Amino acid sequence: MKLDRLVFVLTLAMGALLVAAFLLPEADTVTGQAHPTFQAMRQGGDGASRHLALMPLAWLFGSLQIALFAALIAFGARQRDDLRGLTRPLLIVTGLYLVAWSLLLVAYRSFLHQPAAGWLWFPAPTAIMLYVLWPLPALYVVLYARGFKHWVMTESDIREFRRLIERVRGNRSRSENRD
Amino acid sequence: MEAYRYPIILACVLLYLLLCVGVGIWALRRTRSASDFFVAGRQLGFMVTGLAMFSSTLSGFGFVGGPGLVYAMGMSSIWIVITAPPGMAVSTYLLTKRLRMLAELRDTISLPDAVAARYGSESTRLLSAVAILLGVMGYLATQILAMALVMQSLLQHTAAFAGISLPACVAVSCAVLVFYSVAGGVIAGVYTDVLQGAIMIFASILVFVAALAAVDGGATGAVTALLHDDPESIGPWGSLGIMGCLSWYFLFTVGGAGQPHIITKNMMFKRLEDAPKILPVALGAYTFSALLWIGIGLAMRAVVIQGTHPALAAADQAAPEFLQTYANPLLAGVVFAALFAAIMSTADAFLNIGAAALVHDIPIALRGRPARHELWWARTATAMLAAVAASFALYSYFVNDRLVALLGAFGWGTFAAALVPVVGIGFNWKRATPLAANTAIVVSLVLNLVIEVFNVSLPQGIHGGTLALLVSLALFFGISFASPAPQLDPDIEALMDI
Repeated sequence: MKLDRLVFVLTLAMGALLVAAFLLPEADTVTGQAHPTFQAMRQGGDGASRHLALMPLAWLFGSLQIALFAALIAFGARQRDDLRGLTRPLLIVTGLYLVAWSLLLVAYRSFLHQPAAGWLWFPAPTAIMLYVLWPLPALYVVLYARGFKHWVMTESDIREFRRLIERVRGNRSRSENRD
Repeated sequence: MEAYRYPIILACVLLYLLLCVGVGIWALRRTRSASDFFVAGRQLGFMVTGLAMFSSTLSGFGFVGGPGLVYAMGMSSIWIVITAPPGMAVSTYLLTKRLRMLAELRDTISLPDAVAARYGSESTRLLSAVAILLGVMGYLATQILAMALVMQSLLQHTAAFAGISLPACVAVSCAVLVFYSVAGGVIAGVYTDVLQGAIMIFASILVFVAALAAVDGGATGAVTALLHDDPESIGPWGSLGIMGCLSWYFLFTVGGAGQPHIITKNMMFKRLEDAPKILPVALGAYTFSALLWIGIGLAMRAVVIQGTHPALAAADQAAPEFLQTYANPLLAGVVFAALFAAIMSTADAFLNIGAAALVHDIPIALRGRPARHELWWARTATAMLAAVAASFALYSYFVNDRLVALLGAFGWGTFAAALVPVVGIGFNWKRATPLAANTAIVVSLVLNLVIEVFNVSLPQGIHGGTLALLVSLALFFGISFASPAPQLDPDIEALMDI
């Protein structure tokens, strides 16, 4: 499938999931509840009652988001529908990203039954969010910084751009001279 | 030292404001044309561009609203913080190369200028300029109001200015902002951004350490207290819930590619080869500054739950209360200076793009040429915009307290839904048509306005901006696929092939 169609399909699929989320029955505390003691605070309350039914849909919604981020990155990097070697590293990073996202949900299911601090101070799902899901997409940044001359703007692209600039400026000055 | 807490804090803020004035004077001599004023003559290095992008991204919301959200909702708002790596990556892959090349090819000096060049359509230029202007007014008024309120709260603790009014604080804080923005345009803006960015990074790291020390038992004590009080608050979704958090994650990741005050920086750097160095600078700086958001928010929630600090009347007091209670006076001074820096760095970027819309884009769209004496008018428009936004902020504060909040909330979602398809997708896709771009802008403006004005809350805590962005993207693709492929200018077509 071409990338433009892929981005469009992913957008429509995410829209369909939003509609599905709107139609699902909503738990009373889906967006939390007022804290009984401290007025400016809110509490989440019973996580199982507000999240268990939503989790499959949430996993799919999150996974589609990650797929869309990767598709947009490819969309921006491609040249005449050619990713020039970026496909493999992009798929590897996106695969890791999806694994981290899935692990977060698995850890959250366990946390619902046994809420306790896990790794590096935080409960396991929060630790995965902070220590894995947060930094992991920085690998896309590494790919951009390290692979700029291979995948984004090669030496030949820069030369082509300079030629384009010279051609356009030449045309412009010729037309100004005629005027 | 504690006895001199407020004089020390005010001295730090005053020193910072004087430095901004100094940069304004320095930049005045370097601003000789509209191109200098709006895109710094495309002469910026990668470090300056990266720090300017970061400073424009982190507004006063990050320093006050962010910790407040953690205090109120637990971990929910961290889903905004962690969008930085994927969001900056998406935005950079989609736009950095394209916008920079287009700026050189067509000498574009604003985002609507680039949009008009890409689509060959003056109506698309006009609509994008109007969308930018609407978003700018809301954002700018919010920033000015926040700046004046912080200044008033600081001055109230001094004998000489105890009774200072809010309008006076608006006037004083705006005077500095307007001075350097009018004098040096975006050159002053980006170089003050460098100063502001450095202060923000330094302050955030120190505050994070102070936050850990403020709670009984440090980080372990904080997490234990939060777990005992409400496990969900320290779980990954906080009180907002899973779908609400994911809707933020999507909106703030993809939406970054539609924020004009950030993405226009891509038109300002000197060497195309510097593009890969800009992103790590911006991302690194943002990551350090996010420590303040998380650190203060969690620390304040924990100390209140532990009973060692009285409960806050409003969540937004979390950061000021922390600084006044737990931070060394000198550190509090640096952080308050950083807070002003965060607000002003975003506000100056908005002033600049708003002025460009007024004196460059809208006149070209309506009568085919920009304002005569563009640099003079750019300076005048900058001052006028600040005056209108300040009046707007005061009107909202004293008469209609929902107005600025409404327009502030309108900002990010509107920019995202209106401009991500038009700019982020359209600059990479030859099939995109002007009709699709115009429809996406109009529909997203209307949809966001309806959601905000009627206070529509979507089921499962889903953010309205997420719905608007998805609708806008779907319409943009759908209309473009359904239309004949547009005829592009040969130079634009050649550029999009690179």
